[in-house]
Amino acid sequence: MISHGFRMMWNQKKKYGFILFELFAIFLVVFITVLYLTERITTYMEGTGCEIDNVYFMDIATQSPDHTPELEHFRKVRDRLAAMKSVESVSMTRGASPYRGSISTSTFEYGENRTTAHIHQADDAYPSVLKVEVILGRWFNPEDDHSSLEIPVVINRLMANRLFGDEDPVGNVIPGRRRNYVVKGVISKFKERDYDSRRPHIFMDIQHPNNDFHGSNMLIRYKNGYQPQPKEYAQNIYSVMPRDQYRIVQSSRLEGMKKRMNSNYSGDILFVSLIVGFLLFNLVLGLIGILGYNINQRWSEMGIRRAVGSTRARVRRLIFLEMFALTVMAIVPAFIVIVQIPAFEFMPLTWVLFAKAMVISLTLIFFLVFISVLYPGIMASKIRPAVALKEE
Amino acid sequence: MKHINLKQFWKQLSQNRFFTFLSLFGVSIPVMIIMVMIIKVELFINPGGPEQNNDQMLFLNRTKVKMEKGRAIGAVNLGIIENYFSEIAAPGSMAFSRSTSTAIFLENEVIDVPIRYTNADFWNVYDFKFLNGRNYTDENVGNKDNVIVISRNMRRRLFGNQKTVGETLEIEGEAYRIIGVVEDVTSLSRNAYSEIWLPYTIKSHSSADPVEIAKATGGYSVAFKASKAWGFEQIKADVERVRTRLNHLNGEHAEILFGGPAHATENYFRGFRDPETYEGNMVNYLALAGKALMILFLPALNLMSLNLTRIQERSQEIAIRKAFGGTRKRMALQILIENSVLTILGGLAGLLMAYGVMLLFKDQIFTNFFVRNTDQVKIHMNYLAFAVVLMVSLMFSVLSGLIPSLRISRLQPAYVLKGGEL
Repeated sequence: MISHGFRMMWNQKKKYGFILFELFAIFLVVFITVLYLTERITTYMEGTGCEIDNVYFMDIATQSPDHTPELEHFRKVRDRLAAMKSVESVSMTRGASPYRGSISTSTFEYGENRTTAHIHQADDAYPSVLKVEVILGRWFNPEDDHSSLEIPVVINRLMANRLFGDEDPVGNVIPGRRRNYVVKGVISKFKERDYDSRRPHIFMDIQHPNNDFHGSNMLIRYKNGYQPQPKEYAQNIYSVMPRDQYRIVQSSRLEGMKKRMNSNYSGDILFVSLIVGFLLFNLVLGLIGILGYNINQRWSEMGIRRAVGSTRARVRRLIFLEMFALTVMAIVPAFIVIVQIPAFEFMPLTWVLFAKAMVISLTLIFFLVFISVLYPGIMASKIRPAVALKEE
Repeated sequence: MKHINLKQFWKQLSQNRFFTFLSLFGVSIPVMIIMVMIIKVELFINPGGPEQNNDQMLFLNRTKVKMEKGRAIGAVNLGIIENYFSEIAAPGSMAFSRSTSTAIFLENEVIDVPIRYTNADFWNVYDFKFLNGRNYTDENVGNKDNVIVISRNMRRRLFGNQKTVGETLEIEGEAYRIIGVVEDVTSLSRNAYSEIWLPYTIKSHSSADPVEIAKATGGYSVAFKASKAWGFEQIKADVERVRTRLNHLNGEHAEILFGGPAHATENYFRGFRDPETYEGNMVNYLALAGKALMILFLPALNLMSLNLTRIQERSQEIAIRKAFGGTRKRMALQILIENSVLTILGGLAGLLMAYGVMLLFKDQIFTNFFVRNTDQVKIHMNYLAFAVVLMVSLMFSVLSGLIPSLRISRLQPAYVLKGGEL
């Protein structure tokens, strides 16, 4: 039966030439876009590892490069903010807030292993503000020995794997160029932006005396049921910090920063999906039109098939099989082309992703072809042999 | 005869609604998508407003420094601008600015406002429309005066459209005197957009060490305005000379590269990329054209196969007309005209839809990380581009109609009338 379907299709290849080519081209386009979308969406779904609802961001800078930021000022500000009735917890961070543009990186080595990691500075309250999940050891806290020269750090799981492999990372010392870092804990995941791929991250204790202090920003988690109160936050900041030395550079909810950061990507994703949606809709309409007409043409053939003993179900199955054969004939060359394309190097392509995208696009194409055949197929099976033959 | 053709055509359209719909749909939507794509790129390249004459300017926004270990990519360093570019630039023809944002505390809310630190010639190079007051001068900039120019939108939010020149505004703990109000600028205008403009000397000063400057990136973007005396080629040569001097200072330790000076088009395509990886405008044009062709071609394939079946449906009609003396030429011509009219109708519908979509979904289409204010975006239409797109889709549709109709008209009428197929 299956080979019969293929032979039927092969005999009509001239008639179906264009639609065959269209299926081929659309499958290519659909596969590439599905690959792109799957990559974007899986990356997005991984999450940043932070809970950002109810978190407010205030960036404080010095008035001019001549002023040096003083840690004591920032500590006082943090404690005043944390004492506010509406505030749950406050963290002093530098480069550790998600959805900020700037990134600083460095290379770290441990024995044979080396990796580049994004560097962040944060204080003890960081996990209580952003709710990052500590899976091994603990976050640095006041009990850490501040007289020791080694700076307490927390790394993410990816960095732990890259540097220490199967070894337990907690307690290990990562030698640095100027100072050494002692690993206190491992968090499950962290990303600065939703659409970034996973990278190693290292969080250093911003308050450690051996760490250079270059200023910080405040991450403020306000209590559920409260609104953020930026004016009050600012009053508290300026009650500690002299206005001629410090200024508030940015003040916004993390939600707002996230929305802005993602606006580039969401626009692209929407645009690409709309175009593919249009192409697919067009394909379905085209298939329905052509099939509907061709079934009409084969009125008598179907009649004869029924007359010599084919059941309705068999006729219906034949139509479906033919279309199935047509799709396979288009997809096999498309598949060969896809495997050849070396251009995939521009994407972080893994086999899992490739397989996922392939399954999704195959399902999509076959489903749409199935839908387009549904109506003409049923019409064909309803042909009454006597009527069809009489008409002939 | 023409009249009968037209009548026939109309009958064809209304009898075969499905085909008509698919033709119109398959032409209008791609035309719409492509026109929106083109206008979007055009608006980013020339956003109008202060940048309306940006075809007379060259932009330099990126610097790359390659060192023994590692590299740095950023905007242009202030020291390079103050010590080198100001020497080569013709008087009044170089604008430079650094754009950032600040939090402004109002009565009931805090707003994040984009602000831009500029030099005084910034106001000569770009064509701002002043509603009140004036811009700051070289003297203001030299004295580090706390004076600012604000946009109309800012005036409305801060003072509710009252007279504002002479008022003061507190930014980051310091009081600034408002000396001018300008018409709003669309944020598509990446080189000039802001809500508040102030002298660059207030918050920054450049390093004095020439060796350090020579291998530094910075935060400034530069625009050179060309004139008769100082043409594009001259500007490029002068900037290249500056680069040679800097690299001379760098010796073997570092190399500095500039992503420009570039025309607005190149500047848009370069974006924030590494200056070294830029592959030229042609590649970007081809990429756009490739996308457009794909969007036009796939639905056209659909139409071709549908035409093929439709022609078979009409084969008897054609055979009869042939039997009564219709020539092949005539048959082919009729199919051709039918398809062309349908395509042109679809194209016009697409044009209207492009207008509609751009007006209705302005925010969604133009908003991105750098574009927050689309109010000032003035939608226009590029009819030349539309003509090209229409020609291409006409070509597809003529091909799609012509091939099957020629094949049909080659057949013997008697054979077709008996039910013969292609």
